[in-house]
Amino acid sequence: MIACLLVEDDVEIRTLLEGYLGGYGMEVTAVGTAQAMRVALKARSFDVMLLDLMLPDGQGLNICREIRGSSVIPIIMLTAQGDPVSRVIGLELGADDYLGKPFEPRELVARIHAVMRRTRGTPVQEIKGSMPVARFQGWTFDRVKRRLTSPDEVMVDLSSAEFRLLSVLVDHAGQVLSRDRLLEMSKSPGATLSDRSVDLTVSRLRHKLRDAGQAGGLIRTMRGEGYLFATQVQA
Amino acid sequence: MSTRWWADTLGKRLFLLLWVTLVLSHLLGFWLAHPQVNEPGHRDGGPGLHPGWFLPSLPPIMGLHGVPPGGPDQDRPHLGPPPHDRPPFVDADTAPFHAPMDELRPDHDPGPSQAALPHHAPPSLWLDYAARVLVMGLAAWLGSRWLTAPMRRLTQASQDLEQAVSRGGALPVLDEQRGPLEVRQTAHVFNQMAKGLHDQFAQRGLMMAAVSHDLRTPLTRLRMRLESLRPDPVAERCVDDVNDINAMIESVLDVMHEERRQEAPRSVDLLAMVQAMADDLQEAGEPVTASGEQVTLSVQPVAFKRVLNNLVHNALRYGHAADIRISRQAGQPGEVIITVDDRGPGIAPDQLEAVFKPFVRLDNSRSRDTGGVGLGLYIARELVHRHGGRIRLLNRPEGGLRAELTLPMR
Repeated sequence: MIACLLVEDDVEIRTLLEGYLGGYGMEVTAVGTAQAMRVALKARSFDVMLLDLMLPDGQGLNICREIRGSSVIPIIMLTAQGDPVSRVIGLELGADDYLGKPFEPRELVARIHAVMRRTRGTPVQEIKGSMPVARFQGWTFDRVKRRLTSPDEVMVDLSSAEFRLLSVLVDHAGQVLSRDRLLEMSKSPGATLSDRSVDLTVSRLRHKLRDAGQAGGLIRTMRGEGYLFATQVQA
Repeated sequence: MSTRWWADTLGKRLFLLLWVTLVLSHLLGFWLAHPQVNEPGHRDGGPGLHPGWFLPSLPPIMGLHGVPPGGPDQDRPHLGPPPHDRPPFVDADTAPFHAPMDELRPDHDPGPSQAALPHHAPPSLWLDYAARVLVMGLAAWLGSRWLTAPMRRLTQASQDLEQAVSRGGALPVLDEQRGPLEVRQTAHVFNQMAKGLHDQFAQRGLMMAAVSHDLRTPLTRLRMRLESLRPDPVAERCVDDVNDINAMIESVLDVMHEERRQEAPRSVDLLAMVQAMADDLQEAGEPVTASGEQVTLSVQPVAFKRVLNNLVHNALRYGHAADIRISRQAGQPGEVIITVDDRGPGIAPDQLEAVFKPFVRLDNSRSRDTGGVGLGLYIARELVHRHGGRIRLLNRPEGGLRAELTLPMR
């Protein structure tokens, strides 16, 4: 049972979402104001929070920052504004995901599960290790803006698969990761990956990191064992 | 302002300009005609005055040739009778011509004397002309700069206004306390207009944001309600409609945002950008490929990605596939060419340009089931122009449409 706190000012969307998410075995507490949200958060604990950006008594972004000051509850922002800028700001302020209105209801369910898995299912060490900006050998990997910057300040775009893979590698720098482990940790809801696709993604990532894949490279192939991200990572 | 009383209106300024010019040209003419005038020995006129230095256009000036003891009235020949012993402005024996003094009196017909001037004093006439032309020319030049200074300020302010409205810079304000009355009025009207325009643009942005927000809230409800009706085929179609409406809101908002946002340019690995885009679409099952040369270029990343996205989605929507290719064109300073090819039916040649206009979509059969409002290519072209590049569509000889984007290497 996932306990879900829904903060949304539109009464009808509240009722509809309550019913819909209830159908997926979630227990939804719906409130309409930031004040009611604070009361609810004091009363009990929740697994995930769905936060509308426009509330009658406060700006969602400020509320997001306020919650992050005291709690690690996963936050999915819902907004009707839906421009890329507020998305980036939202993620920077500590939201875990962002969904524009109108959303596919099933996608909301998938995102809730994904956020839950990321925070509940994974070892604590990984959550702790997920620094928003990681630096290694002159490269800057900004996970909030989903941006990789080369030592000579060139922006190198990553596909979602490459982003997830690099994210796992950076979190486990210095550890040998088997293909299965990489596959498990870098999979995303809805996308299916094979062993081969891991190899393919690794080789693309190497290319983008200008890493020839040789002994001294960033991503080393450990024969029979998997891959090693062989570098020091700084926050 | 202490100068207000004389420079109050354009008319007064013009009057002042003409008057000063006239006086100056007279003074210069006089100075040329009487170079000795400051020397005390010639205060009483006399034979020292060379006849050639007489300037015909000068009014008769008696005083400087020796004031007859008749009183100040006789300084001004038109106010009193001319003295009998002496012509009022030249010595009789050195005068270039012996016009009877009556003819020079204003109440007399001046015809004969003026007709006589050119015959008797050609060198002085030319000197006279030259002096006047010089003074008038100088006055016209300085005066026009003086009179048009407010116009130049207005021109500059209008240019700043264009920038301020379209790019969100500081609003130009004209000084409403400066210059002649007409200019101050113009400045006042201009300032009001600038403020009005600025407010309207700001309101337009706010209104669009509000409308989009207010539209999306009921759309969200509608979408949630439809979910309970699924898998009814009618509900499925309604879901598509909801998505269409949302896409339209999004692209209209895009236009608003793009007009305003000034994203900082960054060096970008273009090949990595198109590969990432293609990989993500492939992961979603779309037939997109990316290939070509590795090129690093300074662009506005979000804006540029939007251009590529629009082109690729058009190719997928109408042409069932998108093949992106990057190539480099040799030359100074060289160009990057990005092509997006599809495998669709192409576009009639006379429509290749029309589709770049906002809200233009080709025949309904083509767009009915594919959505969109017809802003994608319009936005793309605007953004490419901002990058100093160009974009065009062409039908490939082997079939399918090609979108070709050319950017200068900097």
